[in-house]
Amino acid sequence: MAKNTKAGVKKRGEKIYWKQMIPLYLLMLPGLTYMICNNYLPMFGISIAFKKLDVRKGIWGSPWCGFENFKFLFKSSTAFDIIRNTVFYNVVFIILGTVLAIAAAILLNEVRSKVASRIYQSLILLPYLISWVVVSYLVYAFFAADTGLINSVLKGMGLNTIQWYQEKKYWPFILTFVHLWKGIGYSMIIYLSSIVGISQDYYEAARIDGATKWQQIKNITLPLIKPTVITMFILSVGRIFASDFGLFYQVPKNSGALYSVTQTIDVYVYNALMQNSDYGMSSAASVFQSVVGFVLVVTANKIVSKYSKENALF
Amino acid sequence: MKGKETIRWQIYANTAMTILTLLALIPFILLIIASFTDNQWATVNGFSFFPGKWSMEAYKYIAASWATIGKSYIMTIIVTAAGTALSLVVTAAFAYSLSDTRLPGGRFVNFLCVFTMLFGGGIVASYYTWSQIFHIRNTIFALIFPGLLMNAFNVILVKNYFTFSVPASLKEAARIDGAGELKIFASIVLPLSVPILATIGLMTGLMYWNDWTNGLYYLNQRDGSKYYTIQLILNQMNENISYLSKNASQMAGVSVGSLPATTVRMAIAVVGVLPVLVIYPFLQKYFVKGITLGAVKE
Amino acid sequence: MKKKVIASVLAGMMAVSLLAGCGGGGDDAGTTGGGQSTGGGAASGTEAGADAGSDEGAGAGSAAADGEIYEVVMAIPVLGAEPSGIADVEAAINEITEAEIGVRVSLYPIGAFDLTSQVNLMITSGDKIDLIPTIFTGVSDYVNKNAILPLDDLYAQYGADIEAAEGIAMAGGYFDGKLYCVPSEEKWARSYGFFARTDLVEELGFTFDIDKTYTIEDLEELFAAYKEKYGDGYYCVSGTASNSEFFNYYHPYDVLGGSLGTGALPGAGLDGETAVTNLYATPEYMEHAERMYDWAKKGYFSPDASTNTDAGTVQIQSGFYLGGFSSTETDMESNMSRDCGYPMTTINLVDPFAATQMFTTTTWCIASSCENPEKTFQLLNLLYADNDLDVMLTYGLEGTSYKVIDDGDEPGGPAVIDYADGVDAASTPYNMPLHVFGDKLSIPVFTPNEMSYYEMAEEFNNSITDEQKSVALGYVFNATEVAAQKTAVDAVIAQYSGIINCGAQDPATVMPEFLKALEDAGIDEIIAANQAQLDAWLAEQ
Repeated sequence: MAKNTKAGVKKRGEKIYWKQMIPLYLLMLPGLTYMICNNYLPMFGISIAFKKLDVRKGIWGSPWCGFENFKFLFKSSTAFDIIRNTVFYNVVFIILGTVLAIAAAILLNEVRSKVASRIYQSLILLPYLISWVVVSYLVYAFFAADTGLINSVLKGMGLNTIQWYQEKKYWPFILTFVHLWKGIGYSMIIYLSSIVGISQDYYEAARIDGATKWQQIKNITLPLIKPTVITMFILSVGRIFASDFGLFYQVPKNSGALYSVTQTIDVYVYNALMQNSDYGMSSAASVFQSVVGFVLVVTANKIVSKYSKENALF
Repeated sequence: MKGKETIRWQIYANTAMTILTLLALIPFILLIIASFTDNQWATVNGFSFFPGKWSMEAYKYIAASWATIGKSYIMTIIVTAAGTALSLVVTAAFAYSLSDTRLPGGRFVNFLCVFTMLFGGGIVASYYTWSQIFHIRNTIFALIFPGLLMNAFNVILVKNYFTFSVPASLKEAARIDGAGELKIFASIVLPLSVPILATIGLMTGLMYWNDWTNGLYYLNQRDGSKYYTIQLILNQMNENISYLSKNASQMAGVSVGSLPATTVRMAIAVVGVLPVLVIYPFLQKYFVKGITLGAVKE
Repeated sequence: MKKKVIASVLAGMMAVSLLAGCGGGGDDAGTTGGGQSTGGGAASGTEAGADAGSDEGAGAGSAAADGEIYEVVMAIPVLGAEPSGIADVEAAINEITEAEIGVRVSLYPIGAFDLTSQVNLMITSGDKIDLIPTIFTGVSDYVNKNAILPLDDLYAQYGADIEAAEGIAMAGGYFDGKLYCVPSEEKWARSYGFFARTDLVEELGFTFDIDKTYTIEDLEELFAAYKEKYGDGYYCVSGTASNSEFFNYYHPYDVLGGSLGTGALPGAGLDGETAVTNLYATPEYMEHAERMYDWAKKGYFSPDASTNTDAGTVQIQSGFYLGGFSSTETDMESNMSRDCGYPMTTINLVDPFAATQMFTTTTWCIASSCENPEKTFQLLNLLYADNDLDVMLTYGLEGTSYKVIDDGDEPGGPAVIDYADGVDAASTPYNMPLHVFGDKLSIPVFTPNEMSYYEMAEEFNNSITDEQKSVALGYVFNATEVAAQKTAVDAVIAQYSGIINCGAQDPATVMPEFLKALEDAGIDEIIAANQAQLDAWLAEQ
């Protein structure tokens, strides 16, 4: 038995020992079953995007209508703005979000006091727990033209007040800030879990060699959390064409004047379909996002696997 | 020299963390104050850290359904605990099977898993599957199963951890000693993976705690209301309020009256988040302990 | 009331015999698959009719004939948690319906905010649901998915009481030339205008006569006087969020069952003009945009108007607003006074007129999955015939949920009620603030309304002459063929409507942008399609 195992480990694919693999399949079974029930059975819903839904005939029986449901996505004269916003914000969010979250995780890991570390962690996670509607009210409390806290301060200092919800130049910054503010606690914890998983031996050895803290971070921490970073990166690349609806719709209060910098695909789809709950068009929109996301992920994965195969997602 | 550096880093770390904490905390304080602000005063003056008029109206409005809220807290806790536990077991087992590169078909299943992150059938098809094939409407399973139990994101995180942070040498040594895969998983890999399990446990717990869409879709008000969770009730309140504010004037018999619309929203958020805030540090004790335990071993 | 029921059964019988006469003639009113059930309906209806005839026309005719009781699942829109008394109400209703028409009603409460999406999900996945209310949404969505049944035949057969109660409001039930839903609408027209706080109007030395119609310039005088007296921090018009449209409060138009984005008749179809127009491109709309910009500059709007999500009435309650735009007919003045917390004065800007969009506010449809449309429709008709049902569905049971304060002349008819002793709005076991059931004009009203409410309402309805009805009354545009364009146009309107109606930006630059975007999205194609449909419809009339 022991021999067999050894052989199996030594050369992958040389010979498969089924008996040994059965426990692994057993472990896989519940998850795989759930995935099939929860994710793959409903995939027939994708066909709705290509159908003219007729309830009496059911989803299967409804007639096909080709790409009819997709048309509205490309009718907009602001299509360029929408795509630019969606991609631009996501790229900024991915870069800044990753860098700041890692920095925060590393710094949090340095905090010696257990109590302090715990307090920091829970409180930084707070914004993540609040719904976007409530966040939009908080943002409004700061930026409202008439009653906002910022304008009160500006008035108090004898400066001109600003109609925040009409001036689009500020919003790329506001939205980025709000996004980071809400999400940093969450991604910080992901990276933190990865950092505390690093064996202390490495640091011990480095300290003996007289490495500074900075060198330890650069030479031990960062390389060792690279797999997590790459995974998170590939996954967020796949989400580039989906945007955070709450952030872009609720936070700017759907103010028309800001659309050219706040309208993303999800917001456009929501505004377009608010009047009618057309399943065909809404699934067309999500199929479009999925396909683009899929292409992006496959590409990103290809690139990653070229440089380091074990870090690739699949 | 070394001591100095440590102190310097303590200052860096604590300063940065304090700033982040304040950034998170200050709006939250505003939220709490807002929930105690008189709605009319807020309509005129906006929310302020020093409101001119305090009021408990918003909480009174919520308290009107206090009987159901108490029950729903318990339901939420049951669902969160059961869902998280089940989710951890399923996710960890699944991730472990995928982390073994020798497994025939493993790569394919792994791809299937990533694929679900990008493609989905949409709400209609999900609803159809769960309600017509599995008949989970108006049962407690409706709150646990659809969508939440396992997601590809967590699977990948855990799988990554198994691959990169659990030393392969340990597994191999165990294999040489004749341990089966189940034993290796249970007695070597899992104990070493406490940090990631605690992390995704936390995330899944939050997801269950905050979810209200499952309740909305799969529980109806007559047969399913005994399973209502706190977030579902709060969200219904929220949605009813915005529905009323938007449409009331056009409907006979409906009066918005002095509905404390905005402050109720704030109070609802407080009522929904506070228990997490109270429970979280206690859980975190185990969380932190688990992390250090996991890290020291090896 | 009993009389009404008997009348309906008799009318039903007559309709049946008529139908039976030409029964074989392949009546193709039902669309695909609908024909089958209609045929079956006629057959069982004939039986019922025969039976009822021999039973001296007892109301229980069809129940006796079929011998079995059909369960109708009826979705009801609720606000807030499930009413605790719902089972009692259901039992009391079933006592009536089982005996009268052999129907057991199963009430299925759905939060009003989620009504459309829930019902859509249920219908699409084949859950059992029979009777569906729509609120504000109209039926186009349901019809285009084939989710509801055409009701023409059933209406002809069993709909006598509905017809008696709804009158011209039935116009709101048609789509694509077929009857798809039964409106529940107590007002046969709408007038539009502005409500201003009475105390301020008097203080500023203005008088407005509720029977007169004023111009927007008259209103602006009031605004100017108010603003001059109160100045900064005080605003004239309460504005709610970004999708408010003030144009219709001083310009009558008929949107042909759609929205401004699908084209409208600028004269509201009262002048005989039937050219579907893109109102946004008219000089009137440009003038409107400039007016709103002017108002914003003069401070008539709050600078936060386009982002404020508080209800207009809540803003007025704050004491910093003069008033707000609204429809102004019959009970609106008392409603507004109640909701704003100040006595309000009506300033009419648009005379009462009737167009289809007014009658699609609340309607009832029958799901296409319904296994027994006849009985379901009979139940629907009974709601308009038997006041007890309406009252129970709306207010619950007398004694436990409400008590009668002033019970008029006709027992069971119009009355004034209040919460029963010991309960209030929060603790009542059953009260549906959303009035969507049956003949709303014959059920009691809550205090502080008085019996005079009924006279006022009736007088208003009777005063509507044919000249006040749009020529396109009953026509609804079916946008399926231009769905992509319509969806894109809706998105454009969502973007610009708030900017224009709250005067946030200079129309000189925004309007051309807006019109260009509309054009790019394909508004012209929509309007052309609308025009073609309207012409065909008019030719048929």
